[in-house]
Amino acid sequence: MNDLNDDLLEMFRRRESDIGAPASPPTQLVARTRRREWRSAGIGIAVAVIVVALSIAGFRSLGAPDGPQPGDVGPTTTTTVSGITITYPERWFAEDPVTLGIEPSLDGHRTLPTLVLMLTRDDPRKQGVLGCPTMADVPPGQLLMTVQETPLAVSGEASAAWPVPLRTWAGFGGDAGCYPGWSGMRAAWTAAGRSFEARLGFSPEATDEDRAALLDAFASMSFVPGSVAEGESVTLGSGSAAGDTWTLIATRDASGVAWTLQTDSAGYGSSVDANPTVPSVGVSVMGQGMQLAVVIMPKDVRSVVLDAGGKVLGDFALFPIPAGWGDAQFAVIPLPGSGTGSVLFRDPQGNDAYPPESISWNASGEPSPAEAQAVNELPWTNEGGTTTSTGRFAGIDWNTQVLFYLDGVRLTIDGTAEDLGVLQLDDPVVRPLDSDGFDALVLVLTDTSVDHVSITSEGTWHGRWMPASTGDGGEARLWVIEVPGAGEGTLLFDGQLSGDVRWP
Amino acid sequence: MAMDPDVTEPTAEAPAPTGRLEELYVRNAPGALRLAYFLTGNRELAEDLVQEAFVRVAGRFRHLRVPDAFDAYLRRTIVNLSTSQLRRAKLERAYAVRHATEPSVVAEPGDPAVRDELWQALHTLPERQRAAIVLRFYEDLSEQQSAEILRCSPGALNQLVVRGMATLREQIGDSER
Repeated sequence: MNDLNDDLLEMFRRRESDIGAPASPPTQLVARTRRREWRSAGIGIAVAVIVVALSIAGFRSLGAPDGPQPGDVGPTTTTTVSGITITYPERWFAEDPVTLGIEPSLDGHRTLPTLVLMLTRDDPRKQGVLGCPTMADVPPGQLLMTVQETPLAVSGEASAAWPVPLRTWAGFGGDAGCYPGWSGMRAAWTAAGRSFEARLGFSPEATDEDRAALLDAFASMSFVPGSVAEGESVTLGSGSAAGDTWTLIATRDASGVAWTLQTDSAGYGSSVDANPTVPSVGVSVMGQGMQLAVVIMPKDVRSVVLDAGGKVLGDFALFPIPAGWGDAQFAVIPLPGSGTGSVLFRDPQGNDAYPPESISWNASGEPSPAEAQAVNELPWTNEGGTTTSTGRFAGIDWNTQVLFYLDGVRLTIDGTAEDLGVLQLDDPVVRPLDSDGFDALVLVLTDTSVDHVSITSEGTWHGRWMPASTGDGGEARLWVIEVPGAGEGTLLFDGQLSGDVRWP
Repeated sequence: MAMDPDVTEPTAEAPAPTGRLEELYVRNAPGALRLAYFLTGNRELAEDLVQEAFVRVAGRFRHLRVPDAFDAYLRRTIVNLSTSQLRRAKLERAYAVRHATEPSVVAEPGDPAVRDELWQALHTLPERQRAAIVLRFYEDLSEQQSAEILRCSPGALNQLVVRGMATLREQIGDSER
């Protein structure tokens, strides 16, 4: 072991003391973890019901009759869970997800959204409640309902007053492997100063009696005030952009007011001055192709306009935070494609209430040829998730395509395509350009920190890159180096030796 | 380091989880935080990263084929996050936003962070090189284990270590070592 190794080890030991260890998980972390569990289409919950039914069926086969038979609805009972009073078949199970361990109750702290009620036909506590129903030999006819308390909705679907109708929900369709043929319904509403969302799932074999009983149970619910969560949360508004839905939520607790912007796959937020004196604008990248400008402004702004190169977009909804919290109000502006512009803040007379704010955005990230050339980047396009670059070397056309990250790279030379699969980082792949075995392309995947790749032999040939992915979806660069003739040389990353390469 | 060095791919159906979330956190957070700290060089960002990793792994706990390898999954996720688009696109934003509203943590002249040249040099390395060095030297993982976490071949892993160490030598002006 040399001195540098020793120094590293000593430094690591010394630095270990920099980090303390929290005794318990932050409340927000627990809530996020549970929400993530729930987001997988209620898999754990639905599976719990189904696999429990398997257990029950097994008990029955041993001559120990227990639990309801499909369609055996029987008399009803009424109970209150998390401030929700519900009437349901007495052989069924209306449970508090905290009791079941589905939702946390860490020192009594909960944040919204959080599951507050599960209604299942079979006991979700039975052994084997977790798993994919199609992977276990579960009896048919399962169904369930879950109710989630959400931040208080002051507008949009969830602000509708209870009772509300159920609507078809295709959430189970995204998990056909575990829930083949399952149908779903959902509804969102506000009652007793609380907002909720319910999801109902029915396997194809669910009996008409069980279906009717579940729907009756849904319709029977009534609510009492008092959120299960500490602090206050309000859904200010929602909308869609780039095929995804965003929701703007404001929360208030002892530390003040904060906002979050959420989609199914991303979240972004910050604390906010509840009584701003001037507007502010930030651009949030929420996912593939979705960029949103979040505008926070004083109450005297009556409308917001985006002037994007002479194209004026307006009529954006304004979302004030609740009265009593402050007078801040929000607007969310979807930003199409790429561009620059100014956000204008109008007073009631249509005049500028405040100076405009300049913003710029770039949804695609696709470089112009000039931009690409300036940074060793190949011109590329992205369509349907496939990134493509083309070139011509030694009189032969080539084309590289970065496919979905698990599929890797496809290289086409002179019209003949070859799937190279997922490339290993830093390991070059060489392909000849013609059948004579002269002239070649060297492809190598690097992390994004590498800004220059070259091959040095009797000459030096410089690579150009296009955006790519590692095998686990991480960001990477796919470098293409065109090398003439045949030979061998040294592959350099940012001027540093990486290895030898031969071509073709 | 308390974390189990074995990184095991799913191989069999998961039993129902028995560990409480809190227990998992208490057991794994110290090692995870240190790993994230060494990868990021920043305590706050490390905490963000560990939280994100914990949410990801614990949120999938029921679907892990080998729940006992929770720490190994967590380690892999931390390393991936530290080099992934998510960290750049999301965590750094969250970090920047938070620091826009909270007092910044700025190294004072007497702070060891300023004095520790090697520490600073480590954090000028490209993320994967730094991760390779941390996994090999601090986590004491084998080449194969480190390569699995970084999703590269052992040869490429060695290249990352070699390049990283060469840069460290240059940075600390110790080319004779």
